[in-house]
Amino acid sequence: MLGKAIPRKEDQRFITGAGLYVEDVQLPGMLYAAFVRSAYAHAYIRRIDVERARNVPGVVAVITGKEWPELSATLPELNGSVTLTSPYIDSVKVVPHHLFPEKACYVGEQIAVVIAESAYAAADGVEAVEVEYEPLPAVASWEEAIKPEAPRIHKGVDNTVAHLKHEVGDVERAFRDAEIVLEKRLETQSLKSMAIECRAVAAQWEEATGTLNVWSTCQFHYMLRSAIAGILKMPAEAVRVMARDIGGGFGLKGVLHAEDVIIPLIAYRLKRPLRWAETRMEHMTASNHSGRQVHDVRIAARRDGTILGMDLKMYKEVGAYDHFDMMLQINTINHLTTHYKVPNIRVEGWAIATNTSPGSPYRGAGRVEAVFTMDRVLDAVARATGLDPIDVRLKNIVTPADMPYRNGMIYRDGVPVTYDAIDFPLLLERAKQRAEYDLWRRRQQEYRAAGRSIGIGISSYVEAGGLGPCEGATVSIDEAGRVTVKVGVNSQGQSHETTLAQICAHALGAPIDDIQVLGGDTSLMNIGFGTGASRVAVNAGNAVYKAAVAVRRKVVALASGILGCTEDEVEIADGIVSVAGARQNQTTLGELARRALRDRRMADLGGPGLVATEFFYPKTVTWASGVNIAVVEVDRETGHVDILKYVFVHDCGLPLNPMVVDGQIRGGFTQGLGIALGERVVYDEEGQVRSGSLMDYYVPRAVDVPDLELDHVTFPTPDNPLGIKSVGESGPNSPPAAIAAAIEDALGGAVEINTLPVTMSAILQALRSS
Amino acid sequence: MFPASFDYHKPGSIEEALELLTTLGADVKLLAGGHSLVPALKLRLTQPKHLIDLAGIAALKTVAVRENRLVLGAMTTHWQVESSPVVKAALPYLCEVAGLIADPQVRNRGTIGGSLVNADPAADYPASILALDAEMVCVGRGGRRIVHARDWFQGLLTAAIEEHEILSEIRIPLLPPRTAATYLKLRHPASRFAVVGVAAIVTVTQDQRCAEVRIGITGVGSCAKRAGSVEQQLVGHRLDATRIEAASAAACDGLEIDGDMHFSAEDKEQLCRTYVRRALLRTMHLAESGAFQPTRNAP
Repeated sequence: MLGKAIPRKEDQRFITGAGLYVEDVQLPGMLYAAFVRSAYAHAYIRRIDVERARNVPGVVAVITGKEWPELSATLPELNGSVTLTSPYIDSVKVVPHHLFPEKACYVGEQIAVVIAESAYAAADGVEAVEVEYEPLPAVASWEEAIKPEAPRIHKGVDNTVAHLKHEVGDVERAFRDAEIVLEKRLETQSLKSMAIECRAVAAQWEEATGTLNVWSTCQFHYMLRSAIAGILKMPAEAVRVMARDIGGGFGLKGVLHAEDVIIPLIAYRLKRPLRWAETRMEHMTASNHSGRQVHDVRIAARRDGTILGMDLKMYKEVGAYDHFDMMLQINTINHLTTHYKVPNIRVEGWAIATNTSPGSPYRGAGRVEAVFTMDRVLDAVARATGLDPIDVRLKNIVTPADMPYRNGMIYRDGVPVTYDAIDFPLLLERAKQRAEYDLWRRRQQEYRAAGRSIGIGISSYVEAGGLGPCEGATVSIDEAGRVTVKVGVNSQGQSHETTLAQICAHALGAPIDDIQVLGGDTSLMNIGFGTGASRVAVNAGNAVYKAAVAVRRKVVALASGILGCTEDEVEIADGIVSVAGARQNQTTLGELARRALRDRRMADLGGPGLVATEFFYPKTVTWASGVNIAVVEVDRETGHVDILKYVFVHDCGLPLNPMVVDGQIRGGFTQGLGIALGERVVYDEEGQVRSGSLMDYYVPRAVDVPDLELDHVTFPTPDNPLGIKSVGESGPNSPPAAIAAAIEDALGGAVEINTLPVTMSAILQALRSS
Repeated sequence: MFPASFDYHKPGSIEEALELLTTLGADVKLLAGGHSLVPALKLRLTQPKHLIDLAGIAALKTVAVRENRLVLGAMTTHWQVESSPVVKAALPYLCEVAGLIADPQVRNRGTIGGSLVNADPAADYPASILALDAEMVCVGRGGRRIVHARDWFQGLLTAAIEEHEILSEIRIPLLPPRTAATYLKLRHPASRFAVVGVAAIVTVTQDQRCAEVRIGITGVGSCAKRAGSVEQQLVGHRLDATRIEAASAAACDGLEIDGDMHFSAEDKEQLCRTYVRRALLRTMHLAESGAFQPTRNAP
């Protein structure tokens, strides 16, 4: 069952419209919320006139933050699966983030909330609220924000809110020894998650049980529970957060937004169910984005293509409130060298606040920036030396003989980055074969003679996933033999209900059809974290495995007593429990579960019933990796890029379900394609959003996505019982670098491509100026 | 995104609609599919008191050939144009154009009349309406009025229709023999509207000289326009690649082209010239091959 491409168990529910998303939560007496949002990127809120709004038919209340003491609360400083130890960071300044601010620091920041009998009336109410602003000068880019005369986003706080540095080896010496020194400025853009389901939250105070029920799209629902319980001074278990069916997350929902907390607080006070669902407009303007990142990089190399050292300065826009200290830059650093040896590295980074919505991770979370930098560097070295890009890569690649290999970086769990049991040259060779690299190099010349511009780009990535601290699982068998797996994590579309069931079926010997997986509800598991950082398969997957093994041990112990055999002789397959060899002597998991309720033997096996809870603590992250090769054709008159061939070779350890892995890679690739060719959040100088709708914000559509040639290579990890690694954030990392390199190559080296996305306009402009 | 409240009216005849239009006051919008109006309502960019839905008027859904013209009721959806056997037999070129608009969801509800009255600068139909030299029939309480395509598009989101009129039908002359037609469009990466869309219609003589040519350009200016300077350089000549290339250099004459966040003015000018050239080349290819009009089968 493990490793089989079985269809997804959750598909029936989703395809027939039976999923329960937050907007499907409909309760008697429900009220609806809509937010009044700042029109300015930086302005004091001098007065909020709510009188007219209160008189709008259907409006029940207009809340401005002064009504109850708990509304003066602030959001937790750090979010989700953040830096556990920060070996590189030497300063970080966290600014209180109020639910209802006195000063708006970005366009779309919440100022007041209208509660009404319908969503329509709530929107009418918002329009009737009059806000008096005192506008202040705003800064919308890091270049402006670091100027000495720049307005301060937060009074008394420098706009540079965090700083880090790290050095491996002796960079000065590497540059002294260098035969070639190259310098580049590389730029990547800010991105929106653009999930099909925007953010949403619903809440209901249940007087009878003293429970505040919350339905949320949050990826880290336990974090939300803690925040709500903390503000309301309730026991954590009196707040039940349900986040089961979620239409996409991609990092943006891994953050606590003010609305996530405000709605439950108001529902609790009004004692009426309350729901808010973000509109696409709000998503585009007010929700978090990933933040522009600019790298100034110097490379020291020898004429034979050997890289001696790298000196990197990183500037990151983190928006008005930085809830992730320097996590994204740390991810960039820890993924920077990908498959290659860079013996001497010095990095320095700045997190710079701007008058834009707060920054948060976007699928890839700093890895796209790392890969784009390393591959642009390798290609620059190839150009400077006249070597083929593949040869430069082979010159610097980490080989199996180098394993275990440490590149001198420290992961954010405090453990040194260590590659082991990975064959990077094999991945490169496989990609080269699948791409028919030599053939395309020949064709490139032929096509060029015919006036066609063909280019080839190569990119390699690593993906650390499975970040701890841990996740848990409870596996139980009922009297009919049906198995329930409860996990703390939730799903935004990752297929947990299938893959975790496969793990359980494999470990327990139960039929997959009899296994249901429940998650995304804090009442199922008292302790859990959530879904993000490509952590569920490793953490929750191995927890399910351990719990299923523990239940199996109980089954075996009880069955050996009942069937009169030794434990070694007990066999479990397809829900049937039997004695090896003696086919007539058998029982079922259900029958054993029934007997386990009353059988005294269970007293020594942990108590009644066939149930066990286990937690899995990873030692550190696992390292997935891959190589991508893109062949593109550029229309020199229009700047249009056509992808002729795309090869994606990757390792994610043992695939739990290859179909699910394919889906993860294809989805991630598509996001990478967007990053390569057009996705970009654009603010003007005043901090107004220019990319405010899908008319202007590019997202690839199905017709834009080329056929991918996927190749799974499996290097199992010894670090967990299942030998699995992560895959969720593998997809987007390399496509931007591979496609950018291919475009640069297609243009014959006339222009260097150092900025993402490579838009049609960028190509036209580059060709005009070359 | 929730619109402000409005009263909804669904008249069953043009007369009834005109009656409503004159009695309900100034704060009225006609709903003709809704793929521009409904998003604007939801964003509260427009908040009319009354919405008159034209979907219930059978007379606005004609698809017929009369007097050597294709007659399309204003409420004919893009999908109906794309798939209609009448259109396919009379003017297959237009099936192709309709099939290039947006996506199937939009084509199922969006209408040709809605598109032409809205006069979006990046809509697809306007280029072809100009190149086909179509006529728009507007009806008001005072009677009917015919507006020629060249007078129809007056500026940004502005068509030559009066406040209390309804566009009832579009009359498109069928193409004379030996006439080739092409619509070539560069899709905007985000919106999929036309960054530039060029409709080129060329009638050739037996010896392959250009007897008549009309080129409509959409996307780059504030509204769709004819490429008069290009046309002038083509009439009477044999349209080889050199002639086409030289004439296409004038593609942007008379267009006011502004840059936006995706394409600079310089980009758009280059794309406009390129697409005029390519559209003409393809048109001549169709003429020389004897096919004249696209033969794509509607899905």
